[in-house]
Formats: sequence, C-alpha cells, structure tokens
Amino acid sequence: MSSKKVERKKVLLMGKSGAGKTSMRSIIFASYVADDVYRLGMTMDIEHAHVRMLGNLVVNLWDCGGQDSFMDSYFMFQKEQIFKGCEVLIYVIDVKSERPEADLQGYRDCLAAIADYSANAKIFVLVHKMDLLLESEKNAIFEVKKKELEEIAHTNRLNVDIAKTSIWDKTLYSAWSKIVTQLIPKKEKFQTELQNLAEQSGANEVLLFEKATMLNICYIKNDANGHKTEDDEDLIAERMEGLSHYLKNFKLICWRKATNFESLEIRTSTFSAIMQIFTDYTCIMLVSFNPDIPMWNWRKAIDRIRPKFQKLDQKNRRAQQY
Amino acid sequence: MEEKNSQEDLEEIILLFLGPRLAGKTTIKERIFDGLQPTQIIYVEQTIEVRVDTQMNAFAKMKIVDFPGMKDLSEVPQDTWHLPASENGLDIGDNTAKLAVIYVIDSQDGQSYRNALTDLYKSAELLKNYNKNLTFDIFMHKSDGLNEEELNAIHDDTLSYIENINDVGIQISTTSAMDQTIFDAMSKVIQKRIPEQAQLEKWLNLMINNANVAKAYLMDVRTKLFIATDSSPAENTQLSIYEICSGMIEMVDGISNVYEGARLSEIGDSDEDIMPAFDENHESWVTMKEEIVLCLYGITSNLALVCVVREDALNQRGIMMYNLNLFRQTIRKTLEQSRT
Repeated sequence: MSSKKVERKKVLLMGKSGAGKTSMRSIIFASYVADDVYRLGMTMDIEHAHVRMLGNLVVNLWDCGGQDSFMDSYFMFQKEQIFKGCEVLIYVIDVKSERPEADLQGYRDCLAAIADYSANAKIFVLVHKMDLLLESEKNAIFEVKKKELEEIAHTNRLNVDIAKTSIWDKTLYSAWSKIVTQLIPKKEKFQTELQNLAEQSGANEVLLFEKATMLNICYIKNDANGHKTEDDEDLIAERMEGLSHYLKNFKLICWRKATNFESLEIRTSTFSAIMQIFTDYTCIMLVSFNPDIPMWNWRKAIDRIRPKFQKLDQKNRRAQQY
Repeated sequence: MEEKNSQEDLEEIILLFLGPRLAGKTTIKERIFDGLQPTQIIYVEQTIEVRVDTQMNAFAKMKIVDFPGMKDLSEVPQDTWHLPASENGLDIGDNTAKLAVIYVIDSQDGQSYRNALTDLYKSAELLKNYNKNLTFDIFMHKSDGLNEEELNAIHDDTLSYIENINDVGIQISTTSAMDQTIFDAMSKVIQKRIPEQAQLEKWLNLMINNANVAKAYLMDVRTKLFIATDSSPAENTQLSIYEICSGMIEMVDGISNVYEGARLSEIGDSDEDIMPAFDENHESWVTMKEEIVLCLYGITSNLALVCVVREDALNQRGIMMYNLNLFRQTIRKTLEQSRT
C-alpha cells in the first residue's frame, strides 16, 4: 500500500522539425481531431507526457523538438539522459521533406545513440504525411524509403519496424495500436483469456481497447463454427479505426457535458454488439452477427472474467514493487 | 376539395434562408443538412446565386432555398418567385406552399446589424403579402462569441423592431453553428410545418408516463433534427441531453455501418446494395454515469426515438419495452396514413 511505484516505460518520439510528431501525439493521446492540428505550434526542446495505461503502466512520452539546434544539443550534451533506458523509439520521417539528407542524418544519429544506450529498444519508423503523395506513386516511393532506412538500421545491428502513416486515414491509428500493444506486459495471457471468452459466449469478435486512447490492443475473431480464422488485415485495421473514431467522438461529447458513458449495447436486424468499461484502463467489446444473442449472457460472461484481468493488473503492480 | 397532386405538394416543406451576406446562411444549411463539421466551417464559400437543394427526411420532403445575401429580395420580381432557380426564380412555390422563412443575422457584427433589421422588415412585408401561410423565424447567429447580457440586449432590440409586423408570429432564436443551438432552433422551425406534430407530442406524453421515461425525442437519423419531443418542462440541461442524444445516434449509426460492411464482406456478397445500417428494428442502450440510461429505438429506417431512462425504471423493463413497441407501431401507422 505504501509504495505506489509503477512501471514506467520511456518512449522517445523523434524526427526533424515539422515531420508531424506533435500532431500525431495530439491525435492519439489528447483526442485532437485531424482538422485541428494546424493550430499546434512548434515543440520547443522536449515535452514530456505521461500516459497511464493498462496494468498500471505509465508510458513516458518524450516529444523531442526537431529543430536542428535542439537536435544538435541532444547529441552533444544530453545523449545519455535522453537515450538511456528507452523502451521504444519512434522516428518520424516526413515523406515529402525538403531536406531528405538531413532527415537521414538525424535518423542515423538516433540509431547510433540508441545502439549505445538502449540496444534492446524496439524501434518504429513512421514514414509520415503519405497523404501528400499521389495514390499511384505511394508504394514505389515507400519501398525505396524503406530499403534505405533498413540498411541504415542494419549497419547499427538494429531491427526496425517501418510503416507508412497519415493523420487523414487509418494508418496512424494502426501504427500506434501496434506500438502500444508492444508495451503491454503479459499480453499472451490476455489473449488466451479473451479467446476463451469468445468461444464460451459465441461472439464472432472480441476486442479490447485502451480506455484513454481507444487504441485497439487485442483482437480475437471466431468464425461461424467457432474456429479462429485469418482475416484480411487491412479490413480489420479499417474497422478498428472506424470503431474507435465513433466511440471517441461520443466520449468527447460526453466530456463537454461533464458526464461519461459506461456501456453500450446495440442490436439491429443483422448484428449485436456490447461494449463495456472493463478494467481501470480498458474497454471490452463483443460482437456477433447473430442478432438474437441474449445480452444478459454476455454481461454475465464479461463480469465473470473481469476479476481475472483486474488481478493481472494487480500482479503487475506487485511485481514492480520489488 | 384538394386533388391528389396538390396533396403531394403539401408534403413538401420549403425553407428559405435570407439575411445579409456572410451572416452564416450557407453554413447553417450545410451544417444541418449536409453533415458539415464545425472545424470545416472556415472553408464554406460565399453564395453568389440562388441555390436550391431538395432532400428526403424522415418526416417530409425538404426544399432548401439559399438566397445570396448580396442580392436584394425586393429586386426580384414577385411573379418569378415560384419559378425554378434556373429561370432566375426563387423556387418557393405559390401562395399555398408550406413556406418557412429563416432570417439569419450575424449577432457579432454590430455594423451590419442595423441594416439587417431594415432589410428584414422589408422582406417580411413582401413575403407576408406573397404567402399568407408562411412561418417566419429570426436566427441571431454566431452567438458563441457573445455573453448572455449582450445576447439579451440584441434579442430585445430586434423584438421591439419587429413588433408592428409581428402578426405572423415571428420567433427569435439565438444560434451558433459551433454547438447544438442551431439544431434545436431548426427543429422548432420544422415542427411548425408538420401537421402531425401536435398528435406526435400527445403520444410521446402518453408513452413517457406509461413507460417511465424522463425525456423523449423523435429524431431524424441523418440530420439529428427532432420533429417532436414530450412536453415535460424544459430544464437547463435540456440542450445537453439533446446533444448527447444526437451524439449517441451518430456513434451507433457509425458502428452499425462498420459492422454492416463487415458482414457483407463476410458473406462475400459485395454486390448487394449497401443498405443504410440503421434499420427500423434497431435497439441500443447507453449507460451514462449517474445512473442515466439512454435508449435508441428505431421507428422507421430514418426515424428514431431517443429516450432518457432513469436506471431504476429498468427494473420494469418489460413494461417499458411493451410501451415502446406500442409507440413504434402507432407512429408507423400514422406515417403510412399520411403518406397515402
């Protein structure tokens, strides 16, 4: 009881000035809508943001201003302070940058520093502002960039995960869902439990969202026979982004009216869905294409496994105290 | 005796937007009828020509006439008012049309405000002589920048100005495209033009008493305008409840669309016409904190009942569902009758 020590995970957000770091951070973590990002100013030096998440995990987000003078000082004087103990590095590259060479140099420096101070960090590179490219050239340009970036990483003996993003479509949401999922401790355990839930309750889909950001952190799918199936990843990503968009919008309306919502149940002629606040940091959603499924059954099923997840939360907390 | 043809015409509600240039007429039209988001308002362009748009809503066919503020109504000859816009007319029908005039004034612009009142006076006189059946509303628009005191001052000022022409029952509403006030005001304009409105309200009152519901709205799913609400006293919180209700429709409709798309790709039937996901048998529930429950209940494919239920009323869910279903059947029957 005495110690409230929580696990902090340091996430570095880097990239050259104007690449779009603060925009994406605001959209994902501060519920900005994409239309509003033109209001954001330049980030001076480093902005820290603490985001509390699943299992008492605190994501310690360092949004590092990308102007040349700041970047220089990071590497000259603050190298150890910034790059030490880092769990995830996210490097953002503006695909339409006017100075692609300088971008790559910054990237090279960052990777070298990470290799020195946090060699085990997971690295994500987001090739951002893809919406500025023509549909026909997108893939070709991205592949060239990807190859270039991977080569630099390999010279530092690092693995990188490269994704194309844009604040105007689902790509940003998918990329960040992946990043956040990466940070969750014991995610296999979550997955097994939710798989069981899907099978017992007869739901076609079971989804877990991080409550504050509405990022999707777990997705379980059952087909009509109750077997696990592979689905087109793109379609799922689109669906998740859609769901989170609508839920988030409603949450914003509730906030403005000083209230909040705790659960949602939908039944139409073709499907049923239930969404509930699950634990302190998550929301759960069950969906079935059988419109006649009894909801009370689902409510009970959710209530039954909720304590297990809360326990998982607490276990994490205790483990961190020692 | 009316003939069949003219009865069909009767179903059409004609909205005419008037007011000085840059008052916000086109913004209001697009915000409500075309789903324009508040963040997108800065991109709305000035209207130069008369623009006419027709839409089918849950309750009636709407014709929306956007009259450019840079033109002068008195300079358009009255004998062309019934002609379509392509023939330089206004397309506002003849003197029996269900005409609802909305005069939009920029309440933040003190300079053009005086001129607007003069123009308003002139236009009201002209229109009144043209169509005795009209309703006339004034929207004191862009009210988001003013405090209550300033708003009251403008409101009273306008009221005293229109006193001598107010034999048509001119109403003044303060509105803003940034929040729910514009939807509230527009709903009230349209309600005046729906003949079944009084009956709907009566049924809503009956239903909320029997079903133990605190507040209920009958809403058009696409525009979120409400065509009727029960007559329980308006509280301060009424607008917030209305806003939360329309937010709920938006969310539920969105999620339904997501899963309707998923279902169609599942059965591999992408040729099937994508139907609007909201359907008449729709039923959804949202639990808010402080023990408030919202229920969204489909009436037709574009009309929904949204009610606020106290959580303790849910103990008698059976009675409630019975009454909701009864209400649904009654409204459906009425709508069918008024359409044939």
